[in-house]
Amino acid sequence: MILPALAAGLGILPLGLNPYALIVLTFAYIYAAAAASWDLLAGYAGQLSFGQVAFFGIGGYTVALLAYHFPYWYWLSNPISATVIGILASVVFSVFIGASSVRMRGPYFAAVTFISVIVLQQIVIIFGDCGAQSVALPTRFDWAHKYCTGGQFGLMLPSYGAALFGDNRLTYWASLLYMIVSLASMMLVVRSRYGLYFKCIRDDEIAAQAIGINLTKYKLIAFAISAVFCSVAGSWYVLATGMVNTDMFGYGYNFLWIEMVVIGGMTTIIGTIPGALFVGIVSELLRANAAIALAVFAAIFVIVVRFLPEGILPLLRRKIGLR
Amino acid sequence: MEVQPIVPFAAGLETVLVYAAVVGASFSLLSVGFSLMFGVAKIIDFTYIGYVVAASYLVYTFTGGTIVGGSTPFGTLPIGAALLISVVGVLPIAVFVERTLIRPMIHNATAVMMATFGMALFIQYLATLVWGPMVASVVPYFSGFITISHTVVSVQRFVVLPIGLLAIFLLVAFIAYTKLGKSIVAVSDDSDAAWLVGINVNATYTLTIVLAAGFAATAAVLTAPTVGLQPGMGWSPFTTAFIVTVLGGLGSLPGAVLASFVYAIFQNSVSVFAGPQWADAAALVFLVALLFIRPRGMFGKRAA
Repeated sequence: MILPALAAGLGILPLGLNPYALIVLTFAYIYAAAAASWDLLAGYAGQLSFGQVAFFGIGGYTVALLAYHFPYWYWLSNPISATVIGILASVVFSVFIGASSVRMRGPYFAAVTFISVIVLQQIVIIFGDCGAQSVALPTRFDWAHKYCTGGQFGLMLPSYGAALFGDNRLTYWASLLYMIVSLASMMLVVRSRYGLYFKCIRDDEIAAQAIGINLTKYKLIAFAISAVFCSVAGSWYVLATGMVNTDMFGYGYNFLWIEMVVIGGMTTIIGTIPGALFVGIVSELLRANAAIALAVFAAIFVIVVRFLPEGILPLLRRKIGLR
Repeated sequence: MEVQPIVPFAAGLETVLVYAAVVGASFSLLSVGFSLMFGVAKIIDFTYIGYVVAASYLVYTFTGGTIVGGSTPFGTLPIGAALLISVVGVLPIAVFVERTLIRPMIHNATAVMMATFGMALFIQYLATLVWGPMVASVVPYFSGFITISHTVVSVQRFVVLPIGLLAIFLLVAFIAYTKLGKSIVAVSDDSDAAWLVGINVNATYTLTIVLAAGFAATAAVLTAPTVGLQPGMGWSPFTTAFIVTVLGGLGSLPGAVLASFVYAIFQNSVSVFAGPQWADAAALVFLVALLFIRPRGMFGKRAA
């Protein structure tokens, strides 16, 4: 497997790179893990959900809000418990999404997931504005200020971020390790019996039912597993950067992950690594004007979907002659 | 989106209805095109978001708006010309999208959704580049107010109602009485059968998408002065168009029109009683309930 070689290669990098590049790569790893959870859902189980970022946001905001509002209840707000609670919350939300998928056909389901993300973002904004009188909430909701979310500008958590891991290099290595563990776990899932069922459902729902696969059960399982991995990615993001804001519920991330998966190759979990590296490097090259970077990504995305639906990885594989 | 929190809380049912009529007209303009496209080509063209954004920013530019880096060489055009150019200017985008993205992949709904989603984001990011991320305002075309049985509405806002109804009436007439219009219905019923009787199915798809873009653009330019323009302004209208299409029933234009007024009443009530920021959340609840309870919508022909 390529993974150990890649890991070793990426692990040595910090010795030669400046801290800024390390930060960029750290982000790339986290996004790769999140994007891989989407690949699991869409590439293997065939559920094209535009709502993946919801789990990321839920995982991230749970960790952030618990640490921000309940720092004294350490059993609740420490990174591990908070992540677990985030996972539970995401799984609950995934049931909603999964149920929608069972009940509705493709386009309707896609639209529902994408509107959900918009709504979640707005809800976070509505309950935001810590420390100021929130204009958005009617006064009968004043009690909610106690549990504010930081609104559009988000929260800063001084005890997380580089402080948590020690310094940028350690954060980098920790995130690299996290990504490897995450991706490896997803690959295990995908090669298991569950992966097989997911692929059956993806290829032909009716045939899958005909051979006795319980569609509802396995769809819900697919969403739940995907939600777990994405939620952990969100929690890790907050732990590694110490910040949280409504972008974590934004369709911008959603789109970036889909792009990473599409570029790297759908239905190959590790495809998200080249995908994420590509996105990370290009966005750094175009750092001067972030809007240009996004426009370029969108253009690349459209071109890749149109002409290379399998993504770049399978193309390269064939060229090199592997598999 | 177009639901503005101007309605005073204590205004009562009548005001809600008047505003709902006006808003409903703009919703129907927004949605008939989408309904047509979804019903005929059976795909969701996310670029719809882009048409709204593009048309709004075009009309902003032609009525004296600025772009990043200074003002445009166009100056300020007479209102009629600005509106016309903005609407017509969106059509080539639609044709391009249809030709290059939709038609080749029309049998793979997933790929079409992803590609057009990317296209919509591209247009949005392009708008951010050219016009900047800040909210922009379009100068109103009309000034003054009219009073409809105790309710005061600005003329700018009201004018959507007659124009919108006229446009929709023309569309319905076109579909029912012209050969092209009937070919659209034929393709939406059964595209293979339509092809067999000699209808150019590809041209029909193009026509449908152009119509959809044109109506979306019209809705956008008519309501542009009443909303702040932002690159991300297309998602709400898309949500509205989608919900109205589903509510009205796939393949039913009269259903879409009726549904837009029903939905407008719903949105306005939410705005008045809970606050405008809950509009999207309410929309989601509405859509999910609709899809769980009656996916066929009001007049849908087949199961969703």
